[in-house]
Amino acid sequence: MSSAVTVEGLRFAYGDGGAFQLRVPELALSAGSRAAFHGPSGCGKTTALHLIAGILKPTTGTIRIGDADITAMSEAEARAFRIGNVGFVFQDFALIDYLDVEHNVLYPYFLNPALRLDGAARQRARDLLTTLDLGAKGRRRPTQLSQGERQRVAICRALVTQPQILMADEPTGGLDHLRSDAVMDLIDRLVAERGITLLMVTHDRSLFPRFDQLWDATTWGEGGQA
Amino acid sequence: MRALSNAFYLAWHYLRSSRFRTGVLVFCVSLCIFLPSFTFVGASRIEGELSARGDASPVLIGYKGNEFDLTMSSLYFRGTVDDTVPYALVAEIRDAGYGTAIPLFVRFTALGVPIVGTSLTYFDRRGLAVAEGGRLPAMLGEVVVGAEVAAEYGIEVGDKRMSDHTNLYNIADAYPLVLNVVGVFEPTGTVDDHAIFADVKTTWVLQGMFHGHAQVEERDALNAGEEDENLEASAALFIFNEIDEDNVGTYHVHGDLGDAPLSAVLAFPTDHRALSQLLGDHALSETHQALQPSTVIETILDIVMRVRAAVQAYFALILVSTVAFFVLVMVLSLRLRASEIALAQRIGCSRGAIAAIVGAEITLIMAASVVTAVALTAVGLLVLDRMLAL
Repeated sequence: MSSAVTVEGLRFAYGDGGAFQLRVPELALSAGSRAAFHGPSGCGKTTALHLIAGILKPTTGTIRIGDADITAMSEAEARAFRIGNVGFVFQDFALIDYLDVEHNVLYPYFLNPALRLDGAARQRARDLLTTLDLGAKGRRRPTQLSQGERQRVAICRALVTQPQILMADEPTGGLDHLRSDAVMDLIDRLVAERGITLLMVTHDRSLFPRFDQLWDATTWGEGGQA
Repeated sequence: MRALSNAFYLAWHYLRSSRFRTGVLVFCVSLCIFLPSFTFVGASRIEGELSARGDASPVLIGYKGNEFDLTMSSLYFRGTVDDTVPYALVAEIRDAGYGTAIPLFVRFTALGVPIVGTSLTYFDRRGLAVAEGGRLPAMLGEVVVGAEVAAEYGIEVGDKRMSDHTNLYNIADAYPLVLNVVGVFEPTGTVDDHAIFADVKTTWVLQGMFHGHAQVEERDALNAGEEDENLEASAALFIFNEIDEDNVGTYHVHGDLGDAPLSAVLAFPTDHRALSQLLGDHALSETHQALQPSTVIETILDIVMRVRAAVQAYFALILVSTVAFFVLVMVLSLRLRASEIALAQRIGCSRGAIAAIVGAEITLIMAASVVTAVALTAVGLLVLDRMLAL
């Protein structure tokens, strides 16, 4: 099976004077697999995820997503690559309150003209919402939704651009076990149906059996907290 | 192009969702645009209106006194001048070959509206045309009303209106006269729309110099029984207060018509030489003055300009404070939207696209403000136009 994500010799310094140093060992994530970083808060899990997504630029090291070396890309190239190939689900959902649910899902299309907001994209958004039982709530505002519904909208937004890889930063962090399992079931089903690689940050041990690969990030950070 | 339309789409949704903030911003910016622009355009409009009237009235000859009062009374029918010049002056100017001379007698009112006694030439010179169904005054007691007066008081051709009593406590004064409306002028957008026009002789009837009464019988005479062919009428004599075809023949003037009073004579010299001579003829007069209204109006405008400069300096300060307020609101707004901006960057949005969204937001606010300010200015100018014509 080909590699979806490859990380080699990754180093990153955070804060003034590089107080927090992150060293990520060699990682290889095969296409279509499910992997997670786990560890205590502040150990650098989210930072590692942001480095792999190209949001942060590493001090040294190489990150490949598919055949693309994102560490060799300029900031603009990395942004363009990310918006088209990486879907992100954030712990705080990060929905836009002034847009309705359907427009929140389509939000990446408004931010990057390289993504064409056509009928197919709109249909894809509606299909995703229907799949996640939100079909009737497309015109509602995020403030009119429950926490679980908002998380599902965030998942739809991450998948609407048909990414190769879905990165999720503690997507169940604020949910109880029952809802946490429901969200994970949903993510599992969606990535399996679409052949998407899943890379997730979590500290919820009950979710570990769901992943093909698990990396303990406890020892990645040095010099304080990320 | 797509990036721009997307930016405007997001900005539009954001502005719509925060209506109060958007409304306050648009209101403040609109006022900042409206106040100076209205002052500038309005002052220019006043300048234009005053100058146009002044330029269309080359020379004004009146009693020697306050030149502002004479100009305001004769050109804008505002106020009256107590001292008069004789009607003979009109003939003098014509006979001297200086050009056209138009009598003006502005002293009386009907319904509070000034009655302008003049000649038919005035209507030609001011471009006043009678609306369909009417005609110019041909007989004593006939008047033509300005368009706004007709609209305001619902006056139509064939109506009758009484002139206002000049002094309620003076029973020896001339009585009010019934004025027969024979025409309504087409609107001109000038002060002429707000006046009533009559032949100058009709205003002399209002003044009492021209009058008509029943035949003086011996029983009405103060000097009855005296061997004098001229009977002197007592107060019992019936004075007509409405002029009709039956009694118009009885109207007469005692004395010389050349002594009849005028507020002013409006002169249109044939050329520059005639203008110089006309001004020169009256330069040394102890009783008359000949002035060029445009010069008087320039003096008034000079005052207006100074006021406008002061007001615009004040508006500049308001503008600075509003710009500071606008910047503050935008900065606070961006802080409130920090999480949205961070999200956009994490998803893959460029700084340029974020700047475009903020720029689109500012553009929409400015566009709404400009449209509001233009609408306010248009309404303000309509009101101003009405005020100018009053």
